Amino acid sequence: MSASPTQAARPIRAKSVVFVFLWGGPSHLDTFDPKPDAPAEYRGPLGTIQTRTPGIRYSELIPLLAQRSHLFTLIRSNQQTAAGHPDGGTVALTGFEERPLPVKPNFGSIIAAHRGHGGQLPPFVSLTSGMLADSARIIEGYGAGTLPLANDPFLVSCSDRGQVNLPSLRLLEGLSPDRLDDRKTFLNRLETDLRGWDTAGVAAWNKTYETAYRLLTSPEARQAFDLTSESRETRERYGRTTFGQSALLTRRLVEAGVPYIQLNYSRHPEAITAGYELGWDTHIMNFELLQDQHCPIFDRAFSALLDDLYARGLTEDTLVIAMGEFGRTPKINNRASRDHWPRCYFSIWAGAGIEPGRVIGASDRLGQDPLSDPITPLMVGTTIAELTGMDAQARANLNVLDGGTVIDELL
Amino acid sequence: MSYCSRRFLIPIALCLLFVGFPRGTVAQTQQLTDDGTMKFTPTFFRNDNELAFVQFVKPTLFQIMSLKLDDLSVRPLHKDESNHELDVAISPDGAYYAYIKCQGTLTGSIEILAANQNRIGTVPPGKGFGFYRSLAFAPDNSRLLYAYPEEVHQQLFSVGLKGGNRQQLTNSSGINNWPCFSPDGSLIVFGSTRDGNYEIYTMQADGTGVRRLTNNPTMDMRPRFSPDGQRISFTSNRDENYEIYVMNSDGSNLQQITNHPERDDYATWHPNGKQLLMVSERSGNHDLYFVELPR
Repeated sequence: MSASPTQAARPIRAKSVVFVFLWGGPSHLDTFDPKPDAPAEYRGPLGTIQTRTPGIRYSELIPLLAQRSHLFTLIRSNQQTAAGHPDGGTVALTGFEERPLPVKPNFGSIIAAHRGHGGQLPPFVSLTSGMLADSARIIEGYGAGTLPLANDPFLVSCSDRGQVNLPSLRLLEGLSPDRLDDRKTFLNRLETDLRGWDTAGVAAWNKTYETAYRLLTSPEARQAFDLTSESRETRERYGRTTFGQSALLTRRLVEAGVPYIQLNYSRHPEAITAGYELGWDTHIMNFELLQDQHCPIFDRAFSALLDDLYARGLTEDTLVIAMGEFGRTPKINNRASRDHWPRCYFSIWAGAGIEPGRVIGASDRLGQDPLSDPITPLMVGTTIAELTGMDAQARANLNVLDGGTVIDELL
Repeated sequence: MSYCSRRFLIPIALCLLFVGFPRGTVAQTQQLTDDGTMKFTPTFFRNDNELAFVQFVKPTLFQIMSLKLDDLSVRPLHKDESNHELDVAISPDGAYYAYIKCQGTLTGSIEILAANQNRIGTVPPGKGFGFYRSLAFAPDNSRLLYAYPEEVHQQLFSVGLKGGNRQQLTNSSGINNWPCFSPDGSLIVFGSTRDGNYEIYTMQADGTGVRRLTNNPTMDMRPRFSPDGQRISFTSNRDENYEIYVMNSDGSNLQQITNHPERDDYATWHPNGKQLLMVSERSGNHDLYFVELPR
């Protein structure tokens, strides 16, 4: 596989980018890259099913996406360098290791800086109930990095019932788009709640509040966050889950023209940890959690999102990507599960003129390493930038994605 | 949902819906909940008037709920619990129950209690990451079955109700899971991947005499003996969708009970032996249903 530095500008093929982040690292062998002929201690217990793509089989846990394999292109040769969650998350979301400092910007922050902040809606929305973090610390590459703080993601959460809340405004307890009646209410609450903060604290929150204020007081913006205007049938297609309804909100944000939406499967990576949202980090109960919880939820919601984007003609200028920060160990661990594996994993690409129905790259017979040139997170970010019309010069002007190359086969 | 609105919904809940059967027949179902959140491992609790099940009440919490069948009211079994509770199991006489309680990061214990919630015993977390699964009481309340992963494979074990005297029942490759005693206590039905993928097996209560009952390339899982011990219900993905099946206890006379494009799972037997209790996904909502078995 070849990957070349890009010198010339490409046309803008993606007005919006949807980056579905499967935080925790889903097992590639038990989803999109099964190895039915591998020894049992690698293959695992799951069967495989035929997809719409001739000769390509997925795990039996994702039948809806198997029926939709003609709608997206699958890469089976992703690889990165960091094996922990926060540091692996930073590499996945920025293309670079956390060290040496400074931490580089999230792909969404790069697109936000390139596209500017002209609309009523923030240019980079991250759908999550709070900062992405494992039990130890946050992902340092969550936001603007070397770019101005204005390019940080604007955090929005959505419940399994479609109720939208803004974690950024948590200190204004109870304030949400559907409860804000007028400007006076907002300003009174803001003045009251900021009393007692030091100057630096107020300054740090200023941009967030400015964005939130614009969002909360703009009918156009509030409409984008209102899932009640969707039909019951549409909401049900996505599933009565937090991820499902967040996926529906994602489609609405695409329609509203938000340039970059990071749709997070969960706020935390851990599986079954007290007080934490369930992510894909299946060191234990890998097969049970995939078959009972994660795969049914993802299969339904992501299929609905693809169907909806296609049906509305939105894929023509929307890029959709789904991936974790890494894969999981091909060899089953001592707890009959799988651990972290950054050497080989998958990503899904749809829309923005990418020819669908293909498989790019391949892993070896055990799923341990790519057989072809690996696709790195820096290549992922550079390809996103190219498809949004951000050429090498534009990237150099912002001093971002230095040394990045595009995934030529994808384009 | 409020108590009053639940009472109002009883007539709706008692409306009979239909699930397709092969050969043109239909199975009647009765919807018991309508909140739509994900639910797991329903089971009868305190005779046939109350159910217990695990509900994904919010993104950070699995919690055991109880549902009273006379008014369909749902309440947390342990209202102040803030840690995940999973895999609730009830002794056949209703005198005891057990569940798995999350005890930190990727680890948990087995909690064994009397029906009045007095603690009887605990199986503490193992070393490092690890989680117990799939609890089941012996008919005479002498033992509690569970699954636990050790040294790559997952085996079945039993303990006394105080949590001690552990005995290993399987020693195979792969994953052994979902054990369930026959009503007379002589057999255990369970799922295992020892032959490559999830299939249903039976063995003697001491772990000997393993016999394979199913054979197909996709998952067969969560087997449960009927109250008379003559039949076994289970979930299968053989049509690329989770459906409920019933077969005789020797694996013969396979019958497909549900046939719906969405998921049907976690079947367990009503004490009357004529219905199954299950979790069904309908229009993206996960709720409890009774399904009538064909005569």
